[in-house]
Amino acid sequence: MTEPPASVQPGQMPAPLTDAAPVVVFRNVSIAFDGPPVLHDISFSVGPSETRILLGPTGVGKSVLLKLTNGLLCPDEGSILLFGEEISRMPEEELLPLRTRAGMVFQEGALFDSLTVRDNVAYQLIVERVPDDEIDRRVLSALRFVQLEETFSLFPSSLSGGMRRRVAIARAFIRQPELLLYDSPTGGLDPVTSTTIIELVMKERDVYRTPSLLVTHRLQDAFTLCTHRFDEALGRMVPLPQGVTDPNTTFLMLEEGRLIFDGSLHELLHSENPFVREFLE
Amino acid sequence: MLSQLFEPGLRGGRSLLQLPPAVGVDSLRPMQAPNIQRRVKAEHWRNLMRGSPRDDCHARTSLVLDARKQLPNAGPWPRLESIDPERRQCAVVVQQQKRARPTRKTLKKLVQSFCRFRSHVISLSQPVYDAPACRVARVDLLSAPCAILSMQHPNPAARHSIQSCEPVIHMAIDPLERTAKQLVLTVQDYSLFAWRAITNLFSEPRYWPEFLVQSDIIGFGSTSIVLLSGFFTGGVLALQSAATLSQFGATAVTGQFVSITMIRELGPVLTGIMVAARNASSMASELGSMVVTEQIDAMRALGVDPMRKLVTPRIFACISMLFFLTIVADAFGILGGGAVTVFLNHQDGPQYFSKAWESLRYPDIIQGLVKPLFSGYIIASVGCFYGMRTTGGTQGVGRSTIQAVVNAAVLIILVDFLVTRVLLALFPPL
Repeated sequence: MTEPPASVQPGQMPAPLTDAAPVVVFRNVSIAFDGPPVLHDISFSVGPSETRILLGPTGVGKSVLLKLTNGLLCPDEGSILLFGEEISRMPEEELLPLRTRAGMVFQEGALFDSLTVRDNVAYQLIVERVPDDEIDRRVLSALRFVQLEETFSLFPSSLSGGMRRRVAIARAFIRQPELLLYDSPTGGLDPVTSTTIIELVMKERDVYRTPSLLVTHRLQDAFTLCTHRFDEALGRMVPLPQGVTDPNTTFLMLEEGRLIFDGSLHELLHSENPFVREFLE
Repeated sequence: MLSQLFEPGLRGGRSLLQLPPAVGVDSLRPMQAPNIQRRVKAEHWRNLMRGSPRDDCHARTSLVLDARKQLPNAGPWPRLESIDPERRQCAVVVQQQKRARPTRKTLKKLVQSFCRFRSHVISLSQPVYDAPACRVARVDLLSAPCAILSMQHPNPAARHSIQSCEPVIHMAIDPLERTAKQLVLTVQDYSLFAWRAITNLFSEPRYWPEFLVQSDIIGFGSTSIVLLSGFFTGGVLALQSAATLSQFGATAVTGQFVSITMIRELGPVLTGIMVAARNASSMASELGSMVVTEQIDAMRALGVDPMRKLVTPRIFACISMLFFLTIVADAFGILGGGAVTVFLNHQDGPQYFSKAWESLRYPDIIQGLVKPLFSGYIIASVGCFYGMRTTGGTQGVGRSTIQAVVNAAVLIILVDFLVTRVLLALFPPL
């Protein structure tokens, strides 16, 4: 049997998982849309400070699972707990305030075309009628986080695909959410831009310790998240020592709507499941 | 008769009706089915008669085509629906359409024609894949409005393929049933949607800036088209009425005719249709684009209710603006009629305007100003409804836009009729 990876060096890694209540819990969740189930009997949880990477080929139900997490979709069966509250049967009016505690980055960014970057990032703050000065200050801070301060007054149509994703991350991040949901944040981007996005995800994970659920079908992004950490002093990500992985970054894998894997990178790499092996190879 | 025909097959005895598989017939895909008959016409009889019972490699098309040939004037056609050659599905599917009575007749003839082949099993089932085994024959088919005939292949492997393949058959009644269900569902969804949009105004949060922005877009933006359409409608009314009234020497009442017609009917309806064409389409396409680019989901994820933020302000802006736009259209309609009366018909202007003014009563004005309240509500709610339920990408946006404009225009005229009926009952003409 293969040995587990080396333990984490003090000062180099985020704190290991605690026994605190999980942020997200799925219990036997199933959902179907006029046909066979898209997701069937899904059970997992996301703990505090934990980053869970949801792997799987396209069309397997990853985005649906993410939308179930913050109540954008309702499951047919099972229960979903978000911040300890059962949301699977919760009415929309009660879900709205709960959703403000979770940030979500959509696959294509989903920025509002008719609003500037400033208004996009500050959308929640504008709705809450925060004073303009305060909005500007916080928007600039969020844009600085994603290194896009210069786009403050631009419209989304004048941004590149990678820049839009970064603005979407800034929008999700501006209210310091208690959970971040990333829906294929690097999908369709070139490797350099993908690395920039992954670095931002890592920065959010390691600097702010925000629990997150990240959907991707790109193994290289998932492995980078597991084998690197963000160095605040250097202002960039650095690789972890050989054989060391982030203990708070774990994997889920879907196959045809079923959760076939839930575990660490080490367990993923040594899984006997033929689909996992095929996916990795 | 049918039970006698098929019971031996059920008991496992000698089959009454057996057909060899079609050999050498090209593989079919569902989309090819309507055009295949010409290609196989010459050889399907030969294929039907010569095939080996063990040959299950080809889709069987001959029987259906032959059945069709047997019934040239049978009314609703039996139709090859789909055959999946990759799954080696040997089911032959005959679909009957439309009414039940011709279907029953057609089925009888089909069975009679099939009975000529006495070496293979034919089973009837409805639907094919309900049956645990295709030997099961159901004799109640003739009372059904549509039917599927499936043919069991003697080869067990092929039989298995029939049982295991997914249902690819769409019964003729399905589209009708689906359409009816869809219609009921749409009405239900629209009612809930419209009710929620209205009740949102009576609770927090309210988005007044959105209301003002939409009022500007709908009200000011539509002024020019409403003004022009009103003016020329009034002008046409004056032209037409003057030509007719001159036969009775009553051209003096042209003003009365134009003003009453414009204020009571044409002003509200034409304005409603013009605003629907401009704004229902705009709302449906704008919201539809937001749906397909996940902006609506993003809004919900940010804790903002799209119904309150996007729909409710549009509905109330449309109601209030259409009220004023109708007044503008009425005024310019009367003005257009006056211009035609003075400059083209060379009649007296003061007489036209005095008649137009004197003939008006409060019930006329009430009737003219109540209608735009309904029309405004219809335009915005239908536009937003179809926009918010857009599916299918950019093509879906186009579809939603068309549906919004068409349904809004039809509903405006329908509701105009109902409102007119009610108001005429409340305020009977003198």
